[in-house]
Amino acid sequence: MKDLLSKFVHFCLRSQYRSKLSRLLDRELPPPEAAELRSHLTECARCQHEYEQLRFVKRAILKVKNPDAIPSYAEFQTRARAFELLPLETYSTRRIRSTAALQLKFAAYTLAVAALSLSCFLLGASYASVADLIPPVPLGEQISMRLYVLNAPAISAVKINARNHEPSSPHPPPHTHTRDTAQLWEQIAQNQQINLQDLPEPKRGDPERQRYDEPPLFIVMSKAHYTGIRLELPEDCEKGQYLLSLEKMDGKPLPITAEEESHDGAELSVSLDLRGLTAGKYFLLVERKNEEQREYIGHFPVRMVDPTSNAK
Amino acid sequence: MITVEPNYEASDEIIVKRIVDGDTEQFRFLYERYARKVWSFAFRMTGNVEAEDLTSEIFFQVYRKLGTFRGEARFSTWLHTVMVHTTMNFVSRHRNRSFRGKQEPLLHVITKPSHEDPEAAVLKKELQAHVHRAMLTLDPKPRAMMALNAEGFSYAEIANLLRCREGTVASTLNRARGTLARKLKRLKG
Repeated sequence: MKDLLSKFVHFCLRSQYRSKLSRLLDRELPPPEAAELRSHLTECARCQHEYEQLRFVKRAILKVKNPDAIPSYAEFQTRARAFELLPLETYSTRRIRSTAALQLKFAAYTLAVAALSLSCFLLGASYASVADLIPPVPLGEQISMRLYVLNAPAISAVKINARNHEPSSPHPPPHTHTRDTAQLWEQIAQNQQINLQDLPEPKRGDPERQRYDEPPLFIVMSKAHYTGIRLELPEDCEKGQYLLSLEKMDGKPLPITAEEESHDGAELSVSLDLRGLTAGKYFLLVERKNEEQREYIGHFPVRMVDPTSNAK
Repeated sequence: MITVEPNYEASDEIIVKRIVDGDTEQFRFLYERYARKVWSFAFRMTGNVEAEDLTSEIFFQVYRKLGTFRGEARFSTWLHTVMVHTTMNFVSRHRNRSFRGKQEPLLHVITKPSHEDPEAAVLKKELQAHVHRAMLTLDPKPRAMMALNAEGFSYAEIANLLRCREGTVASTLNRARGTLARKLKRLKG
């Protein structure tokens, strides 16, 4: 009788252990239980055999693969065309039918935001999310922003025209409709809790770089692939070819440059492709090309912000 | 003159934003990032020929539904959910069709330069084919659990993807592996 009972207990324990073998194999057991089960495996040949079987199957399944046959992206595109894959149904991919309709739509959004801001201010509420308030910039739409330019030594004023360009036409058309949405972007800055003082100093030891104790230039990246920048140059600037480039804060250059001719030496309009950039802190370097040399004009910190994210 | 270099280090979420904003060419980066994992899962769930169809269908669904990705979870989690649901629908639609893996011609295997004994290489390939075929005889859910486990998903993740409990994943895997072990018993070694 005792023998029978002992066998029954052993059978129950074994069943319990057997049910956990896969968990042990997949490292899904807590350490104490895993240790107990491993100890049991050293004593029980049947469970050990079963464990080996499960391990063999797992390893065999891991080898079931055919990486050489992974279809390439080109093959996927071919299939997509064959299946007439529909374009994404989003606001920004809809074709712009008429500028007038778009202007009305944007005006309506701006009014709605202004009304909401006022009511929130009156009620003492804070913005839940900028993303809920600000529509994405549709392809072809242009937003003009006057930004915080606070005593940057070399460059006195900046007006940013953000626009989603088609990659084939990187430059904005000669004259496009603009709207001053300064208040809107000020609200974005407030919501983003951006501290304009919060930027590190330029790299020390570089005589070309100036120290900026004043708050820096602040550029908003608004889902624009190309951001148009118009700069008012210092009074003593000459006509000529100017070069704008972006650098990381540690001085390493980025492959984002633009060259533009300034005909009167007073103003400069360029477009920079910001697709490669993530939100963050950079330096905008302005130089004038003088035959083989480059004349330093201005070098100031900028901050790229995606106004539809909460990232700083 | 404007010089441009795309940022290959951009996160999934940033790439998704760009695609939704109209730069659909960026989908290439998502495809290249996840194609291997999706293909491996599709291959283990079906066979060589059907795996191509299934992989494409999974990425079609990802592409179509990108606008619905809200960013509440990680993009990879969202993509894996689409992958599993699309696969289960695919397998369910084709349940009357027996999936058969395409076997490489033996001659090709033997003439491939290898440090291994050619006969051993052939046996290995045969074993892999048998394992694959045995796996395809399982019901879709245990099969999916084994395929996800092979891709490194935890029991919790598998349970979430297949909408079941972790305990169910553990017991199902245990049982399915035992079944496969018995089927392959004669071929082992």
